[in-house]
Amino acid sequence: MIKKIQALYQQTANNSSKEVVGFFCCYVPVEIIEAAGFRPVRLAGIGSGIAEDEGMDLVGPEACSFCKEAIGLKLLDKYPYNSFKKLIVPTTCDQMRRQGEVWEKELGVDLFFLNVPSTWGRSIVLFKNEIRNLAEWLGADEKLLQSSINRANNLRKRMLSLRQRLTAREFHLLVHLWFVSDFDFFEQALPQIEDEASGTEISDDKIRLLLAGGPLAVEDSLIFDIFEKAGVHIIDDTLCTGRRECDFNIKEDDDFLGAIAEGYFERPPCIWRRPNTRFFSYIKEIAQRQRIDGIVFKTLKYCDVWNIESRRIKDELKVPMLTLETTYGESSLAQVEARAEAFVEMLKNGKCNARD
Amino acid sequence: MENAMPVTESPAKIDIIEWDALYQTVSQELLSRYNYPCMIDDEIKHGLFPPSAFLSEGDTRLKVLKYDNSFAALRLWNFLLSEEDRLWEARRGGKKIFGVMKDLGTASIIPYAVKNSVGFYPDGAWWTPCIMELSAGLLDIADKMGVKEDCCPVRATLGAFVDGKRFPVPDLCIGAVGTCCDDYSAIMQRIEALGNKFIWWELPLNKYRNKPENDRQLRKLVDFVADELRAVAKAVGEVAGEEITESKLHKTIQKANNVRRIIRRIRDLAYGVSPAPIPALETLICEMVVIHFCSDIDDADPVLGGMLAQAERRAGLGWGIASEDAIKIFWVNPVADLKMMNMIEDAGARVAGSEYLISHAFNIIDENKPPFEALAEAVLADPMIGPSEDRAGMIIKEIQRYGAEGVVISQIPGASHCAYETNLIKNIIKDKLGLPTLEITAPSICDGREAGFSTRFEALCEMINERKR
Repeated sequence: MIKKIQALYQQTANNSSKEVVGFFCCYVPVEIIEAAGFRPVRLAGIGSGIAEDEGMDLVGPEACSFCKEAIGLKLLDKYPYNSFKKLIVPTTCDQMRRQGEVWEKELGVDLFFLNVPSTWGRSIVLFKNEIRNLAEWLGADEKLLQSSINRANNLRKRMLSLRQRLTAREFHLLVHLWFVSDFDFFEQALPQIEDEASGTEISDDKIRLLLAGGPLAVEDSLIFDIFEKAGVHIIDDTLCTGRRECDFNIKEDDDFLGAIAEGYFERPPCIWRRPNTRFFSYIKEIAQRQRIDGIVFKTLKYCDVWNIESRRIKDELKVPMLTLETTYGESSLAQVEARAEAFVEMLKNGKCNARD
Repeated sequence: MENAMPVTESPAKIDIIEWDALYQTVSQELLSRYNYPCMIDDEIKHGLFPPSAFLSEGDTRLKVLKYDNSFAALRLWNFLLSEEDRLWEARRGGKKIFGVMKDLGTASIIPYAVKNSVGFYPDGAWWTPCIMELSAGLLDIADKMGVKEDCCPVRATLGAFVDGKRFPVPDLCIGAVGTCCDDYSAIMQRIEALGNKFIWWELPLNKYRNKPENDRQLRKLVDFVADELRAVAKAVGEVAGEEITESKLHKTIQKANNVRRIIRRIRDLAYGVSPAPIPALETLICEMVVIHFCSDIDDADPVLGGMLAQAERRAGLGWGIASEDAIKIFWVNPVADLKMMNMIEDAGARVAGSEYLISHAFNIIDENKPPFEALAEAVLADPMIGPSEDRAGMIIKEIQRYGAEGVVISQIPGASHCAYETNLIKNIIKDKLGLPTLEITAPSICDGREAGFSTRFEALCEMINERKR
């Protein structure tokens, strides 16, 4: 299955004749990009330490690994960071929007800054206006929006239904495949995966982990290997490159852009929303439903929005938590391996003691 | 006009011991007119004190600073250093306390529209590790709460809320988020999660600044922010038990504008006149006072008025605190260690222009517009919420206005915006003006690196002198 998804991922580099529109973050509506006749490509990271170093040609060392890598991948001319002229950058975190300025000024892309509110309630007014401006900037066809919403809803629903039928690593790669596919390609690819998704048997005595934190890059899939080798099961996640990418729906009514704005505004939130009570409710609900034994909280160096809240997550969820704050370099991976083994050992001992 | 009276005739920078001696020459009658609180021997006393009096409050950094030797500066320091004690007195006196956070200069006006209310920026705890030379332990508390040193010194604010000794817990925190530093946004969230009461309001990216073709969109943004501020005013009014009407807000804007007019004039004199009539350190403090009136909008006016009168008098007499040929340096970003302001002058320079990320607080708010709309426009001029290119453009205008010959970009350790905008701003200054630029990263206490900083400042001055020759 892994090889199949990886092969499909490779095919996306050449299979679409549509012009690519790149974007960062899960708050940019793919429906609008698709309805404007472009291929939406979410730039969610490759996980290259070399690119991260390269990015420091244009930004300081205290920029987060994600943003440094993105800039570095463009400088190194790597797919898919070399495949677009138009880029959408949301204001979902300050580093993201400041990174956008570097893309605009130094990397020569045509850029749209999307104001995505941090607050709830009143600020939907701002977001609706921003969504209309985005649709205008892209030249989205109102008539195509309905079908685009319908197709995206359908694809997200099918992806989500695969969450428990694929291993955590397979699901991670599937979501990354969705990030770089146009709708046509993904609609063709998905049945191949659905057919082969056999489901995974979880015995009661196996350690059940929840994966939380910031976005995981494609190559972060190696982290799943580490835990799988250690004999535990990553039962679920609350990542924007995982469950949260597909755990929502756009209302299919006549005000297409309004519905998109509301759907994205109300989607399972990221930790940077203020207040972030709903994020905590979301993660607690999944943790309880999945009867987890522990959390793996994976963040990137200098990612303030996640790192500053890490202690609070541990305190509020009241389960053992392993915090992995890494860069994309290889040395980080070795460190992850050692710490993961120790964490799993601790959980296994705890589970044995509880049974005894 | 007693503030215009110099304690001595010649302007100079003096240390804390010299201030003690000079203080003895000030008449008791004059001193008795002031009522700033200061904890001395575990007891709050009121009056006007020499800087050394505040050492007993733990403000030990005062020992190494050099001060302007005017009476006006003495009052300014008393105003600044007594702020926390004044906040505690306000609480004891039954006033409502509003912790305004992040927007630095606009929302702080709103609480002053109702009686018995005080607005202040808990963000000011940023300077506590410097002033108290880390003895307050605020960074240690933040560290214990998992907020470590790869986050900017603003994490001291979290420490201050947990510690509970620096300022009273606000009755309401007014948190601006959106286009906001990630670290401070997350710190505000941690503070709310401790049980503090918050109203959140949205600070959107102003992508339409200086783009006349987008006037219609800018209008929508102004309307949106005006509504956000209305919600803030409503919440403040509810806590204060008094409705904030447009008329009350209008009067408060007029008061704020008076203070803003004073700071604009102070800046013009401090940065534009040679020799510099007042030092960089006191000028920086004057600028910081403006963002929230140092918790007393009525006193802020005469305190800054005194500094202005002093600067005017000295400028008229051709007196200054540095030589006439001191190298003119433009300073970008606030420094966590106030001593850096002394050090740049010791290297043979003077500060001729600054952009401490609060320049929007110096703009005159339009009194002819409906107050919420006028405040919204003021918010949207914040250099932090627009493109870095605009901030660079603003810096260039100020460099040209004050004739700066070089630039120091003072990066804040752990502040993510510095990692992105420093290069952009530096390149734009280089392309448009060709001025030498020095980048430094100054921690809250820079003693260990003092020699290195001094050498770099001296080298910058030498380079500029060389170019002039």
